[in-house]
Amino acid sequence: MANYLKLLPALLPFVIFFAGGIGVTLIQSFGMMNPLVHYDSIWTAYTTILTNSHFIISILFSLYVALVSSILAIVFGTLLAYTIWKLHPAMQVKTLVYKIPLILPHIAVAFITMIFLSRSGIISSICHSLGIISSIEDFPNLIFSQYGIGEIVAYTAKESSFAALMAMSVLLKFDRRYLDTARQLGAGRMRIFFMVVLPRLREILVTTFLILFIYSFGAFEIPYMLGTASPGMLSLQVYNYYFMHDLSERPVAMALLMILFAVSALLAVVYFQISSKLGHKHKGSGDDQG
Amino acid sequence: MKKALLMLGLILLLVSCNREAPQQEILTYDQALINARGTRVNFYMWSGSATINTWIDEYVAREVKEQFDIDLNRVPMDAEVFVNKLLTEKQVGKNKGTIDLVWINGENFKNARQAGLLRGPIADSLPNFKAYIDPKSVEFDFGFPVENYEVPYGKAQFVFIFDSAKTAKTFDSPASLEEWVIQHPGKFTYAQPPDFTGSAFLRQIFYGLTGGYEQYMHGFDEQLYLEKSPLLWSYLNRLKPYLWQQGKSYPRDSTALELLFQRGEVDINMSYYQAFAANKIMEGKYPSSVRTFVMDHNSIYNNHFTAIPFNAPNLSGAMVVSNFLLSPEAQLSKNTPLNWGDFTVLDMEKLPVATRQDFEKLDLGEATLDIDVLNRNAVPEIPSDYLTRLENDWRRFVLEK
Amino acid sequence: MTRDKTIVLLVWSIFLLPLAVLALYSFAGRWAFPSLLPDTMDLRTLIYLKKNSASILTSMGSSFLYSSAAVLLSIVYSLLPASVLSRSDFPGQGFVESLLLAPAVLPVMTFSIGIHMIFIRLGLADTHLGVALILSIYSYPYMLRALMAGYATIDPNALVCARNLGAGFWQILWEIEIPLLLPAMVAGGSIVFLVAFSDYFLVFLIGGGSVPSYSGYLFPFLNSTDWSIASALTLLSLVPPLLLFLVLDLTLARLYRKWM
Repeated sequence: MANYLKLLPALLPFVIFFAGGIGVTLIQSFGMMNPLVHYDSIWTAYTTILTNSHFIISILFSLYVALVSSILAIVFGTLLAYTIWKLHPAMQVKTLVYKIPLILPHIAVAFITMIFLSRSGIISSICHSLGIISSIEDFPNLIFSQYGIGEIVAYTAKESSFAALMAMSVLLKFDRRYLDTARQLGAGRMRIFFMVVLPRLREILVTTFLILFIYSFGAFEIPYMLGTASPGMLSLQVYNYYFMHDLSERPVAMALLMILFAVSALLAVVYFQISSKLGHKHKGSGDDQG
Repeated sequence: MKKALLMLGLILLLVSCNREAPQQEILTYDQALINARGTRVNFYMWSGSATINTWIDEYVAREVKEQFDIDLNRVPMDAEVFVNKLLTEKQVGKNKGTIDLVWINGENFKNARQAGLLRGPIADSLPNFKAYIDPKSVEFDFGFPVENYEVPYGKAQFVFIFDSAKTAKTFDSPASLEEWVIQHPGKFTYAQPPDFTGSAFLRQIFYGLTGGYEQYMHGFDEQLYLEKSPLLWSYLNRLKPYLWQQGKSYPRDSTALELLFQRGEVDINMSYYQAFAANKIMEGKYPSSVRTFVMDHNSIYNNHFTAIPFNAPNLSGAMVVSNFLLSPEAQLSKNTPLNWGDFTVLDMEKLPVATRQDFEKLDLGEATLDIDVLNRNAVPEIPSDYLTRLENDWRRFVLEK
Repeated sequence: MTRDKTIVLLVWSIFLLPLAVLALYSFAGRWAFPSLLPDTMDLRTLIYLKKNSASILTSMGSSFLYSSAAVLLSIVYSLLPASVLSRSDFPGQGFVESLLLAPAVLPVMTFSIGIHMIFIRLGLADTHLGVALILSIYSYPYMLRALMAGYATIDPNALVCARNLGAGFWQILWEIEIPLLLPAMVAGGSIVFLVAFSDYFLVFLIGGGSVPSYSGYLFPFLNSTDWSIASALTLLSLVPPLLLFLVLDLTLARLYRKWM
């Protein structure tokens, strides 16, 4: 019983603020607590959304941006961590700059992406001076494109460092002598990476991927700065419906929020299942030693 | 389960009624002056321009501190967002808010007014309003009656911007614009409505193609709209293949268009602010060869205002500050291009001769058109029902086509 | 070794190039396509920063304040639960643990927009406390995680020993556990602080403009056409976290030397 009591300091704020906040959002999505809304059914806002192709496209678009950017972040992050880890320890210290994106706010990363990728931006200018393009029109429109390239690049830039950090945390516990053994047995560089290193990283990479995916799926700041109105990510639609429309449209914003939440919660369940399996395994190995 | 029920009860308790209307006390300006001493005024305003921010933070803040002992605190927030914030506060019955004064006009004013978010009438109790304003000139805000719920603040007029060193020819009507665009493919576009400036461009073309603004000044007429608006859509669709990005996408707001112009992607910029180019030249962002122009008898102007929310914690301070913003000294300072360059709302006829001369002596910069030219071509804003309709239909008939 | 050097150089250029461009932009006047360097340079940004240093520092100080408060709150939430979750095994533990860690992974918009209504009612909206609360709610799981890992490294025998010597609950917590947990606390606190300091949306929603914040100061510029000032302010946003981590590093090292 004392154990349960000791959980209260975290349980109370969790229940009151986190669960409570979601509860209020849910109630509002039914059209309640709103003097201007008189829905016949509590599902009216949801039907509005699910029968409107605009919203469906928006949900799919969010999933697409989150998926592509998280995969890219995992790939780049792993390569970065592995490259740094292979360096001589004295040199490793000098690569701390790779953590810079971690302390840059999301809005700042979005801004930097804009400076570099716009058609008259830095990369375009470099291409021009290298003779790759002869005028602005030759450079593709990456920012504000309907393929969400601006958002994907910004998320990837911000999250690669995080993925690298997570991969590094596992690599640091990894015994380098495995590599030497593998090399002595005649394994090539590629083979070592794919057969020896990657299996060790698999679990941390999967959980990191899920965290990144859920985050980019629901976050607001980068789509707000780099997104277009159509199709536009789901969080941007929420913002537009919550702030830019009048009170009678509020339930739609709230229902969008609940859909956002439901999709993320589903993925979070998968995440926790994998990570708790991981946790038990670690505990298990600890027992073996004891 | 018990916990969940308890929680639900708590929430319902929290959000249950207690929604009595705020008491609208009547306050004279002299009382306000006394009450306002030693208080703080939170001024919520769009803050994307360093020039304007600096004018507020330095000149206005210093003057109201010295003259009235008021601490002015500028809070950056877009108008749609603070209107929404007030709406939420109204919804839960928060009668003492945090916003004392807002910078507002157009649709946002209409929304705020209709939801009862503003305190008023207020303008006619301010001495500077009574002394220097022609009430006729500020009767409507985008066709919506102001009824003194807003205090005039400044006057803005739509101009096109180009670099005279790069672009030789300009245009003065929808027809000559079409010619220009066909001759310069990829070098023209407009910000995607409902962006403020992009939407104003739309209305000017609408006026220009359909025989002038006068017919729209009597409130929304569905028949008239259905008859005239197809002309606009077919015109814009004709332009499309020659626009930046072949009209497949548009800059999402005037900021994006401004960046395209600054970095040289397009040749024409537009601004709902007649001294914009002069200001940018002074900032060093534009070469000094940049100039502005308007279409013949077709340059929309509007007034912008300040207003006081229903739950402003410091009504007295807000009244004093909005009265100060209307004073000849503040309006003159604001009209100076180096400070901001926003035009005055004061009635020149009512000003003392010396003050009037000060206004006439202002050097608005090479890039700003003469006041005569601006006035000669000025046309009023369309009622906001037309505006909303045009913006929505633009999406249907132009963007998604 | 030269290969190592090349790699280090490559990492440096990838991660420092953006910052170099920001620095260049800070002093740029006009900079149009296709110039690789600014067409004109001026000191307008520096003048702006100097003139507005008071409001910039106020916003930074305010961000620092609520971020630190969020760190403290997260410690309060996490300390006891972390000890339970790391040591004992009880039915449903995995579930409780996942539940408590969930706020960090789930989208913040859903709960924060809902809670905004409650906060207005309670008078917590538009206050520093409200902002610190909302930030702590979604960032405390990082602290909980870190403290759980920290507890796992404490030898249970040491605690048994202390208890046998007559130490009470609070004494053990204060004199043994907290000092031993300090590295974990700093690690978790750093993340909570970073998350809180760089957040824009929650501060904007709950703070409603009344709570000054650096991200709130920065944001209008990032969205404006004034890329020079925006660049300089972006660079400035790196200063407080870096400064904090440096100070923490130094004081921790000293503390440990004293204790050990």
